[in-house]
Amino acid sequence: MNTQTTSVVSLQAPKDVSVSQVEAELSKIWQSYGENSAARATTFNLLVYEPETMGAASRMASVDAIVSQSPCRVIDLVTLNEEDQGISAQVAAYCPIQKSRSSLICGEYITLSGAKLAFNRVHSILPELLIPDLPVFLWWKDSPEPNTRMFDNLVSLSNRLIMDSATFGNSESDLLKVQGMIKSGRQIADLNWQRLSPWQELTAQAFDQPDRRAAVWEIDGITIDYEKGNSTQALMFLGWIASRLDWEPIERSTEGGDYDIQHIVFEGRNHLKIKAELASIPIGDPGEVIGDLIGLRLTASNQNTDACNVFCSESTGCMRMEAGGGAQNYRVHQVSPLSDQSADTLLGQQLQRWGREVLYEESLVLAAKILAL
Amino acid sequence: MVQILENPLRVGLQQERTPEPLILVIFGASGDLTIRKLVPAIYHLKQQRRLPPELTIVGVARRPWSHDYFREQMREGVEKFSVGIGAEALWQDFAEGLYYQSLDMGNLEDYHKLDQFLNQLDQERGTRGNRVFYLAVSPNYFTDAIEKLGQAGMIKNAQKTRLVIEKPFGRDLSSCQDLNRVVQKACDEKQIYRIDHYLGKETVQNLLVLRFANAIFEPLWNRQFIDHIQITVAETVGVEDRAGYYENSGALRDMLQNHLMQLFCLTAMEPPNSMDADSLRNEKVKVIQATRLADTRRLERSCVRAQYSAGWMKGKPVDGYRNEPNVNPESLVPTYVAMKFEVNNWRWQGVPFYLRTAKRMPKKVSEIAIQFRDVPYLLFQSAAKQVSPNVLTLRIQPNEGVALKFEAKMPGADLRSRSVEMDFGYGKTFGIEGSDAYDRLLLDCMLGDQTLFTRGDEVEAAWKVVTPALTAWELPTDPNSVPQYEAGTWGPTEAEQLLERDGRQWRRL
Repeated sequence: MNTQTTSVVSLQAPKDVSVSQVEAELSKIWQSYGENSAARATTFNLLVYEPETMGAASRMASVDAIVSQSPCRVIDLVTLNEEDQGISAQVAAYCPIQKSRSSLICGEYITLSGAKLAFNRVHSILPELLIPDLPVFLWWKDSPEPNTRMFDNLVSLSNRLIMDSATFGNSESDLLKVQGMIKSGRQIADLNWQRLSPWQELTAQAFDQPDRRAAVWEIDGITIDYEKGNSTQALMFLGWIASRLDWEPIERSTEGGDYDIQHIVFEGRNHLKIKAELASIPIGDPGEVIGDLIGLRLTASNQNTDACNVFCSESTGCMRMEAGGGAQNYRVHQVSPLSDQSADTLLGQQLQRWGREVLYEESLVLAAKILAL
Repeated sequence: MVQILENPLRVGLQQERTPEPLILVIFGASGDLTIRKLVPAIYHLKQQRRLPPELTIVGVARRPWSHDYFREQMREGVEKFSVGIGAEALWQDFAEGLYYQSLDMGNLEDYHKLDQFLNQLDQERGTRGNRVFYLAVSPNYFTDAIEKLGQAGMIKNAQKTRLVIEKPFGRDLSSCQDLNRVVQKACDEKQIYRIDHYLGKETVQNLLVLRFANAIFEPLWNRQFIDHIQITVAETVGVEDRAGYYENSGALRDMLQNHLMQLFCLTAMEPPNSMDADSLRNEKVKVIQATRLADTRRLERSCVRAQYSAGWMKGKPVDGYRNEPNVNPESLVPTYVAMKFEVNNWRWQGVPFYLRTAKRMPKKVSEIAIQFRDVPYLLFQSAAKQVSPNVLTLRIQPNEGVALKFEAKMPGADLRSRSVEMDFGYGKTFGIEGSDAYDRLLLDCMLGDQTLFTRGDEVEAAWKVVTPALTAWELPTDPNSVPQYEAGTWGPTEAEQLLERDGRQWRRL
C-alpha cells in the first residue's frame, strides 16, 4: 500500500552557536529568506529528550517525521557520555515541501548537547528558548524517571508528556510510574497505546453488529499473546477491555515457564468470573518495536453465545490461537502486521491531538490495579 | 422502536484529531440554522470528546441579547433538536464557552468592538487567536460581512482565521464570480470553507470509499460497462413557509446546482492522487469542466422544469405551488428540475447522466443509480420476461446503504432467472445512526481540512453548466407554458419524455 510522504528541505545546515545566541542566529536565517520564499510558522514547541545511545541518523529521521507533519520549534536535548563541560547549541531551519504551495512553511530546530549532569541546569536556559504562548510537548525517548531533577524540570515546562512504553526498561514498574503521574494530573500520551488501535478496532468490530452486542457481556476468558521483552501493550490492552466491560481484577499469579505466563482473575457484571492469560512468546525477529501483540482469544463458557473470537497477526500467533479446536469454534480475524507504526510516525499523529486521552487513562487505571495485585 | 444495545468496546475508541483551541464566531446567531443545526452539532461533538476544552463560541446578531440569554436559547435548541443535554456538568462546561455580541452587519465600528472582545476572550480562554467565522446569515449579507471582516483586519492571518460560507454561492455565474472576487480580496482561498452539507453525509463520503477503496468497481466505472446514471433527490414537502426564499431560487438553484452537482461530481470524477483537499477538488473541477447539458440548442431535450399542482400527499389534499401562501400566482419558479448531462471525456463519452430533484414527490428519497449495460447475448429467460440490467444503487436517504441488483437462477428444473438484490445497510451493519452532516463539516473546518468544502472555481464551473437553462428560464414567458405535475407523483410528462427519447425510463423508487 502506498502512503504519502513529505520531503523536507533544510534552509541552513545545522550551525554551532552559543546558547545565548540561539535566537539571534534564528532571526538571521529568517531575514536571509524573504517572506515569499520561506515563511516561519510555529504552532507549538517540542522538547525532545534523547538518551546518548541514539545516533545522529536516527535523530535526523525523527526531525523529518516531526517537521513534515507540522511546523514547530524543536528543541532537541542530547545527552553525551562525557564530563560536564556545559551545554553547546546548534540551530537549523527545516521546511516540509508541500506540493500545493509555492512557498515554504518552515520550522526551527535547536539542538542542545552536553553531559547528563549539565542538563540538570537546563531549566534555567529552556524557558528563554521556548516560544511563549504556544503549547509545549515533551517527547521523552526513554523510561520515565520521576523524582529525578532533569525529568521533573522538563515535565514542569511542558503541557504534555509523550513517551513510548515499548522502550521502557522495566515494563511493569515503568507503567506504574506513568499511572502515578497521570493520577497527579499530568497529561501523558503513550505512542505504544496508539499501536493497539488496530487490535481495539477489530475487537470492537466483532461486536458492532446489533445481534452480537449482548454476547460481549458473556466473555469469561481472554488470552493475550505478545512478543517477549515488553508487556506494556498486553497490559494496556487487558486494561482497556477490562475498563470497557467493568471487570475488576481480584487475583493474579505467575506460572513462569518459557512463555512467562501470567493469570489474572477478574470479576465482571453479575459476579461473572473472567480468567485472563498473558503469555510472552519468544520471537526470532520482533522487528523495531518490542512487545507487539500477536494473538488474542476471547472465549465464553456459554456455548449459546456468539462471543468467541480469535484475533491474530503473523502465522505463529494464529497457529497458537487456533490450536485446541480454536479454528473450529471461534470466529477468526487476521490483524495485518503494520510496518508503519514507528515512534516517529505515531508522534506525528500525536502532535495533532490536544487534551487528555480519556480512554488511555481509564485503561491504565485498570492495568495499574492488575499490577498492584 | 427497538433499543439497540451499545457496543461497550466502541465507546471512545475513535482516536482522531482534535482541533486546536479556537473561537467559533457565528454570524446569524439568533437564526434557525444556529439554533437547530450548528450549536446542537457542536454540542454533539463535545459529547463525543472531539473538541478542545478551550473551544469558545461567540454568537453574533443584531438583537441585543445577553450572554445568559444566548446560553438559554442554545440550551433549548440542543434539547429540542438533538439527543439532548445528557450530563448536566458537560452542558455547564460547554455553556461557559458561549458568549454573545450584538452587531450591525454594515457597521465597521461594531466589527472593531467584536475584534476587541475576541482578543479579550483569547486571554481568558486560551484560544490563541484561532478563529472560525461562520456566516449563517442571508446571502444578501455575505458581501457586507466579508468586506467588513477584511477592513477590520479580522481575517488577515491566513494561518489562524477561517471563514465559513453557507450556500447559495451566488444566484448565477456572474453573481458567484462577484462574490468570489469579494472573498478573494479579503482573504486567501485556503481560508474559505463553502459548506454544502450534502458532502457531510456519510453515504456521500461512502461513495468515495466504494469507488476508491475497492478494486472491483473502478474497472467497470466507465462507458464500456455503464449504460447511464440517474441521480435523484426527491422531497415530499412543498415550499412550506419558505416561499420568500424559494421564489428567488427554485429547484435549480436550491438543489441541483449544488447538492446534485456534488453527487454527480463524486460519481463521475477521476480518482484523485490523494484525499487532500486540492487533489479531490481538482478532480471535481475537471469533471465539471467536461460537463454540459446534452443539447443546448434544443433545451427541452436536455432539461425540464415544472411546478407541482394540487394533489394528494399521505391521503390529504395539498395545494399547488402557485396557491401556496406568499407565492406569486403567476410564478415561473420551478419546483421540479430534470437535466441530462453529457461528460466529454474518455471515461464517460456517450453515457448520459440524468439528474432530477423536486418537491412534492411521492417519497423522500435520495439516491444514485448506476445502470450497467445489458449482457451482449441473452442465454437465459427471465421468469418475468423482463429486461433486467444490473443496477448499483447508492441510497443516500432513507435507509442509507448500497444495493446491487443482479440475476440469479430460480430454484427448479428450468434455467430461468430473476432479479435479486445484495443489500448493504448502514444501520444493519454498524447499528448506529450516521452522524449529522454538520457535525462532520464543522469539525473538518475547525481542523483546517477543506476536502469536503467546495472551492471557488468549482462553484463557478457548476454555475456554467446550468447557465443555458437558467438564462432561458429567466426570460419572461407565459406562465401556462411551465409544465405542471400533480403533487404526490413522480413529475411531468415532459420529464418522462426526456428519457423515453433515449429508450430509457426514470426509476420508480
